[in-house]
Amino acid sequence: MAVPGFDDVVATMGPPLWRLTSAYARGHPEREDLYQEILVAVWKALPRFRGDASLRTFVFRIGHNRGLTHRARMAARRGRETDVTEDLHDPRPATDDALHEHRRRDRLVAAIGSLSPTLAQPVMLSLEGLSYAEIADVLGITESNVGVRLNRARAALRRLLKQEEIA
Amino acid sequence: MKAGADAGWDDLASAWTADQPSAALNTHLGRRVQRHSLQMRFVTAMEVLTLVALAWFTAWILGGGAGWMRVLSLAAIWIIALFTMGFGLWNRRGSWQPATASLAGYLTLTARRARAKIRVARIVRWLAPVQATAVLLLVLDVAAGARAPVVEAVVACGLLVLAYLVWSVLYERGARAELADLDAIAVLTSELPPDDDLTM
Repeated sequence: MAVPGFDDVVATMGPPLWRLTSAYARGHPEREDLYQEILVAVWKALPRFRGDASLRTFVFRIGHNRGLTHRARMAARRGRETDVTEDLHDPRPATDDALHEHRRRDRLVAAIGSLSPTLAQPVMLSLEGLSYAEIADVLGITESNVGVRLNRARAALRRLLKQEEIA
Repeated sequence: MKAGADAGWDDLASAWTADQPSAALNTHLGRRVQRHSLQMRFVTAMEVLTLVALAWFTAWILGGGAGWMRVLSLAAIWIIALFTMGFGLWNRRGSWQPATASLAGYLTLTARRARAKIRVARIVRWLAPVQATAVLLLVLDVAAGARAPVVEAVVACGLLVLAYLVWSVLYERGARAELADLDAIAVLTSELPPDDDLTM
């Protein structure tokens, strides 16, 4: 099987990997750093891509594994994990639709970032349009486990977003 | 089965996918990849150059006469060099595959790589002084027959050993930090049972 070019991988998988960083890194600079770290890992692993799984699954696995390592490392460095839900509220007034959309997206990203990795992972993959089978393949769990995690994650996400609306 | 298909979810999905990386970020990424590529080529080039230099050094020393001390010192240097190469290959067994397995596979592989790094650091701490001693014996033997920069050789070997020792300490510390990261990952992912123990 022909190994896909790195530029093609960045073009197709860059945006999903960028979104994935929101669950593992805080703040824009940290996300940028993790994004590049993941893609460097993808670049190193790409020559050994055998096509056993789809390229999307292959890249997402690297992304989540690297993301977890990053989050664990940063948690150890910070001493303790703080709850980022406090950052969900954006006090700026909504002046137009674009700003409203932007704020909505920021709230969603922050809410997903505040979930535990075991819940955030299936949510992100689901929002990227992966099927249960694909999510199970990426995370190395069964499809029924994916279903359970997604149910819990969606409930938690709904709660977080509702709290934010009230605030 | 499509995961989480409903109208509200589709709205969230469209908000989610609107988050895009900046174009400048990919330019930085290109530079970072290029830097990694250069580093990897540099390391390979240094390994080849070291072997070539060692071969040239052997030929040069033996060209000036092959006393038992010279042969013994050279043999020690070559044995250590070949042992290091063999150890390097043995040490990396099983850690070649890309880190793309399931989380459990990834943790196992990362732990294996970190432990391999610790072994490298320890062996370097042992071998660097031994190798430096062999080189010094050779220099002293050469110096017995002709003028040789003995003091400079001793200082150079001492500095080299010191550099290797410092490197090995830092390298081992980094590997131990990686192992500690794995413990933290295990804690981060322990909120739910690993698989199949969940009920809807």
